[in-house]
Amino acid sequence: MRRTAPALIVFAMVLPAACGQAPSAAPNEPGPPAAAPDAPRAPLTEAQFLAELDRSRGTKDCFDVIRDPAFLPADGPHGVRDDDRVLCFDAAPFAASGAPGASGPLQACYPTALLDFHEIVEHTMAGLELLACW
Amino acid sequence: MVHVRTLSRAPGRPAETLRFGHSGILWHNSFLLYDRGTDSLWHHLTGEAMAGPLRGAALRRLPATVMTFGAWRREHPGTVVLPMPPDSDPRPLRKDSYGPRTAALFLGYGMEVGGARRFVSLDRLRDGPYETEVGGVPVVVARIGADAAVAFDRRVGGRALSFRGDTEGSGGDAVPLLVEALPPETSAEPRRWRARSGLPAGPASWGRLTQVPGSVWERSAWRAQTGDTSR
Repeated sequence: MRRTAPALIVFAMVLPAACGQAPSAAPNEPGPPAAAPDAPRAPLTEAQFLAELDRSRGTKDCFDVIRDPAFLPADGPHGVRDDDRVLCFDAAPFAASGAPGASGPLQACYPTALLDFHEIVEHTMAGLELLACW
Repeated sequence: MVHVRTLSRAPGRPAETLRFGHSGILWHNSFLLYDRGTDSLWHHLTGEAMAGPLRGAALRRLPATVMTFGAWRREHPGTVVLPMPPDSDPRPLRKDSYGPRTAALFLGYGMEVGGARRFVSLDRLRDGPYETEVGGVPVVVARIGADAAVAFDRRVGGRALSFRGDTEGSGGDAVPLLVEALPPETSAEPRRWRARSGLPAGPASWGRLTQVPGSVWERSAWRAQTGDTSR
């Protein structure tokens, strides 16, 4: 089921919490122990982690994953401009020699303007089964 | 971030390729993936399974960076690129809805080596690369764009080098460099590496810098999710 990214405004990584809600403990589960300022946080239990989740911003599969896309060479008709930002990856140091695809391209890039609407790309390159996240 | 999605669920068990989807759930403003086999929840940047049957498992993280396509293809002319949809696509692609908000955030480069975590604010990188140690590994962090950074292991040929920043070229074609800092009394020519890729800006014999996996984070999200308070 397709969702429109701007309506959800689910933005990974860099936005401060929009609602400003503090983490809350699950029922009958003690919250994390109070810590001095700048003290390292103790590892969370699974229950504590689940209690900190925000399920209000989207639904399962709200973004369509791009799977096994057809990448194009840099000089091909790909529609990506030189000033477009890309998430880029060099597989050369990690290529699994002898594996299927290991003799193909070793570098790939993903326009962030497109990743804003999909967040996830799955594909195979250099013999590696890859997951690119944005 | 880029991960290898092949994982062995248990010692001795053959590795399998996981398939992922977007869970629609956020944890301190980072989205969580789910794997279609077990519905476990995974952090999209660290590649760690945080909840579900695979909790504790971790995908192998591979270094990735962000830069302009022009800069990337100059570094790697043989690269392939995920094509953009045709102009008829109704989505507002290339509309930077987050630009003004991003400019107001306190950003830094967060990295993890051997379980140790370190956050270096982008402000620290304004005057040049910053050297530190993470998990016993000597690291240099360099800014490669307005809100982009990269980190490398400083060891070359078994020796930890020190670096200063420089650029090659000018304007839009300027390539940020990491230049080996040599004692003033030496007459040797310092070796140089391209900061966006770690590739040598000279003979291949200089070797390639090893990139340390990490990402640009907003500081409060980094602290909330990792507990690390470095700056």
